[in-house]
Amino acid sequence: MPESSAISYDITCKGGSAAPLPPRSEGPVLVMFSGGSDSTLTASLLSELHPVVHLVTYEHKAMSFASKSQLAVENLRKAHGADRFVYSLLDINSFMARIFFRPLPQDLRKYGTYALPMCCGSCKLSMHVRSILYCYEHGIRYAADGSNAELSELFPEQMKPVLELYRQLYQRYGIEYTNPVFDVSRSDHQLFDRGVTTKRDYKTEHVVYTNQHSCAAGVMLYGFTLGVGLPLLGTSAKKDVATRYIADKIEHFCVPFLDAELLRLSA
Amino acid sequence: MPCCGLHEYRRTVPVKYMLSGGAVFWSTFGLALLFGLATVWSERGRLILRVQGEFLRSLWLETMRSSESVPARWSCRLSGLALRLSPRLATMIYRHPELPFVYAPLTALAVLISAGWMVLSRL
Repeated sequence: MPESSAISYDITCKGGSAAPLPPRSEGPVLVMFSGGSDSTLTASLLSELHPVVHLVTYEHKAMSFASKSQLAVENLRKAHGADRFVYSLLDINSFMARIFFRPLPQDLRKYGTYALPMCCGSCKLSMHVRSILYCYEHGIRYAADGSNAELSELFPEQMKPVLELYRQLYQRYGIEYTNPVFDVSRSDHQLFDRGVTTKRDYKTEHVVYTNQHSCAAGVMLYGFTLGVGLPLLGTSAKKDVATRYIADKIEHFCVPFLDAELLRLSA
Repeated sequence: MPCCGLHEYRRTVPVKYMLSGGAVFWSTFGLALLFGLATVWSERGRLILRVQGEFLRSLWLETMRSSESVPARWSCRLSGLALRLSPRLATMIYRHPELPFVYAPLTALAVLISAGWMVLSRL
């Protein structure tokens, strides 16, 4: 653990209170960064509030081309300054295995078929767990992502009640988590207006994203929704099941894991 | 039929997208089944087969036993039509959507194939 993080804040998992949050102008921020227009706009906005923005891209076995997000990092560095952004590409395979794959038979019995598309919810939860560890390792007290209302009806990890659960998880570890572009309808237009990108409509331009990873699990989520959810079950997503699933995973995996891991790191 | 709520469940997703989505999902399911069978000796292979078994079990329960599912709503509509013929039949259709949507079509298909085979064998 870097020395700076040891003095920056206490761990709340021991029941102690966290040190007060530093002003945004003095502390760095972590942005969960896919390279898409939503997370790029998030990073662009936060670079005006924080001295340093840590852009963290995550990858697992079902993802391809995760490193394409570096193209968006270059755009951000050109627009806001090269020294303002720190980029990392981190692996979350072990978290995915523990949260999603291994308990999947029991989860299907408990939550029904909707446990299968919760692959995306588990993936995002794995990213949050890794982000909290990253924040601890680097003394970061602010975290954000590009969750957007546009996709929140389909993707469980971007539904409002689920985002609230993530916010509470971060709060437990003394980190403030926000979704600055949740209500932004066209982030690509705003990026163009801010001078970060050179094309105005690039969000809808390509089937394969130019700056973003591709994910086989995401394709399967669409397949499940179109081929099973709508024609058989009569629904595209189940907000209540998604919320119960994430709450259960946070309680039974994330909190015990993070408590133990942060105590181990601080020892 | 407002009583069944079918009007609430109309979706604007074109059928071609549903078919292509179904093709993607079920072909992957089939490939995973083959992979699971081929590696059944390993822990991963057995996990895949267990996942698929649990998925199909849950899908059956949600489709045939949940009042929210599309077959359940159509069976509710059918039971209303069957009420004129026989209240007992209407109740059976209402409670067991698999009767009109799985067993009856399969039986009809079996009868057709048997009849066709008998006719061909006499020629």
